[in-house]
Amino acid sequence: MRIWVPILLIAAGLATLIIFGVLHGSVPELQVRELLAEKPVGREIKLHGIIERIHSEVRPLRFTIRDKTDPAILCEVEVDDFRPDIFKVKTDVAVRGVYLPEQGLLRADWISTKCPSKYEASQELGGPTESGQ
Amino acid sequence: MPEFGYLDFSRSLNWVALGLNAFAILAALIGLATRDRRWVRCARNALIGNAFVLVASAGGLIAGFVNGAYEVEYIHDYSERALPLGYKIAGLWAGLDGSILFWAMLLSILSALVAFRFRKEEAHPVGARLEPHVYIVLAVIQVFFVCVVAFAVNPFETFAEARGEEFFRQHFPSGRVEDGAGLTPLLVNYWMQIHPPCMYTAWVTYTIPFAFGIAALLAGEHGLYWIRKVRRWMLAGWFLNTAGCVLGGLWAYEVLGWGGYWAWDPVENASIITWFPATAFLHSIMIQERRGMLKIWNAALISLTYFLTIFGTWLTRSGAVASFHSFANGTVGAWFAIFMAVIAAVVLFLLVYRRREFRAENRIKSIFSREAIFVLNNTILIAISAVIVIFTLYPLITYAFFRETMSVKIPVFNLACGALFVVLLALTAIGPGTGWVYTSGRNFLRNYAWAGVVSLPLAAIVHAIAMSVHQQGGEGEATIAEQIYPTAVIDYLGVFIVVSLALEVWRTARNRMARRNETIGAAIATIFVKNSRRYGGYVVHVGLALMAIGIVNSSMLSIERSVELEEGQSVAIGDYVLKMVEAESDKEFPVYERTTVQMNLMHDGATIANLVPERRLYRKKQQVVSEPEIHHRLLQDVYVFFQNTNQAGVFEFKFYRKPLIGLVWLGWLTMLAGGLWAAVPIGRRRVGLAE
Repeated sequence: MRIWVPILLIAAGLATLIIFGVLHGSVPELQVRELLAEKPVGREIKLHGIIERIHSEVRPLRFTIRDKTDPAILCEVEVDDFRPDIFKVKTDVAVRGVYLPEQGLLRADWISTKCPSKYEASQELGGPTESGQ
Repeated sequence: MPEFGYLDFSRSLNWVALGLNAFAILAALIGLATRDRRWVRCARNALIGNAFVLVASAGGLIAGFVNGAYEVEYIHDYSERALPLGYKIAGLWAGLDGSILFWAMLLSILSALVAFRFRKEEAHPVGARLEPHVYIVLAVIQVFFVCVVAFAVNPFETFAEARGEEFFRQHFPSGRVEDGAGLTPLLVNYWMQIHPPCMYTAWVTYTIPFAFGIAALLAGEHGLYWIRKVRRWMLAGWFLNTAGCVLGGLWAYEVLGWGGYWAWDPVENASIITWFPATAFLHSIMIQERRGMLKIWNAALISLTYFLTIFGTWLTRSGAVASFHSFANGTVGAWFAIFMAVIAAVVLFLLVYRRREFRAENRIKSIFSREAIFVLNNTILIAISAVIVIFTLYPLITYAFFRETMSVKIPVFNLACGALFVVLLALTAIGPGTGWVYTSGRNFLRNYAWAGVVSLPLAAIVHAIAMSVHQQGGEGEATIAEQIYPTAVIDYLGVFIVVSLALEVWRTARNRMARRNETIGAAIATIFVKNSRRYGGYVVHVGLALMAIGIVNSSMLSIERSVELEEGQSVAIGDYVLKMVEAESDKEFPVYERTTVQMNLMHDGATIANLVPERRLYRKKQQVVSEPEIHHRLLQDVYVFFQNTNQAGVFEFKFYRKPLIGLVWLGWLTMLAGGLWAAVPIGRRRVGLAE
């Protein structure tokens, strides 16, 4: 048997995995303005925004997030989970769930706040003080 | 900033480094054109000098961190006075700007090492021929990094320079910056001092094989000289890459509190995509050495590995793809994108240009041969890397073609990579016992029949252990398709790899015992010492098998429970009971205050461990970080995460039971030990222990 036969089989399997994966296991990523413009119903989405107000820090979490480019565009979010560590106003957040247009609410079961890791710029340097705070 | 004048000096050293690298390129080119070795030696000395210059430059920045030069914006952003010394030093790689300087410094040190070692290669005709080419590649890459430091991410920039005098006067009216903003709390962890340097050094180490590979292509040198020179460098990069990836996972597992160690985040993906082509190369060079095949493929693999380090850097710095990790500085992304394009263009041109000289001397005669297995193993390794890259870039791809950003969910990553990993494990299982050129069915059966039979009951025991943890957790019946089949298949393949290698070692040792009248211990020790490369590789395979068993069982058969408890209350997770004893607040720490919870872990009515998860509030950033507590055992971990205290004073926890997760870390250590052993040149210098 030629070596190309198993290689082609692997390539075919790889292509199948990729196509199957992206067709059945991908989720749209939206900004708040895109969510409110499109209002996708019954479809799971991942929403990115910035926490504007926190209404409840206990499960289920309830808060308002705003669009990253237009602070006037807001959306209510309810997450059936405990409060993550970095959960405060002005934090970048991503939630995954289904939008309920009649309630103007995104009901989510997954939340991730951005880990302010190594490559975090001094975003909050609107006002450092002499003591560094 | 008169008392920190050394920072201005350190900054100016970047220009010296730029000059030295430019000179090294020029001298090497003149040396090539005139065949005058003196010019090549000049280039060599310039590269060695460059290392001293960049070490001094980075050292100056570290001194700035230690001495509190907070007028420098980068130092201000990633440090504070109250931090212990180790974290102040870690400030060098804690942010984007310093990390690029750190990268340049590491590269300069490794380049100097290469240059230093070339002193002994002058007499070797191929070595002398490759030397100036290697210097040119290394110096060009260093010019790139020094330019990024100088023009795009200057870590020496003061507030006044970066944001203007007015900003500085407005925020610091006294003209001094007394303290820094503090390191991000999640990074105030001892892993910060280990994992990032490990990962950076791995990536930088891959530069050396790349330089040799490109030099070989430039010089048309397709013999074994360069392959043998780069093997140990590649192994060093692979070793550090393996260590770095798992240390990152261990950090996430012990600190982040979600009970896992890998989430297919772009930053994590960037760290692992280089591991696959590096592993493929370490296998395929054996085919080039033994059979004179895959020459162009090896040059391509080495280039791909290096290309992916730059791709990973672009991915993590450009902000092109959303990540849990924060990103910054879009400008540096453009620098790396251009550099990637240049690398790709040069490599592709050279591969096409040299395709005839690098033609294989032999062909694969049978699919039942070790070289065929290696080719398939290479294909799978590259396929896994490709899947990860495509899925990571999927948001960009969908946006480019459909104007809609879509991302791939974690289960799809698991499914695709898991399926390919099953094939990889199967190839790992049968590779070592398959002979070169051709293996008959009879030989194959003789090598593997016993291993296949013995592995069945052993794999069943492993599977039963993991299943028992899952069932004790009261999670209900495991689903056959999603949990039982995948774990059973991987358990069997993993055990098969270990057993077949053990039998192979036993057979070789038994032959030696019969011929030389040695004891079993001496015979095994001798074969390991005499052929450290081969048996080091086998140990790596055993480590991989253990890791695979640990990963699949701990992720697919784990138990997770979210509960709310008050003092004195208990919760049962299967046959384990966790009792919350008391909570305590402590404000005596320099940079944070903490709340700890005393918990008793009980089994059969007896307390087997006291667990103390905690939550810290970092004062400066006003950020809460939870520190989980883990009861580690080889067969399972019990993991307690103190999530929050709600307004009613009730404590919220997450509990996990993770079957066989200890095998992940044990397998990792085994892989590292094997990699280290394979790199040791001991077998070619000493005779066997028994001789």
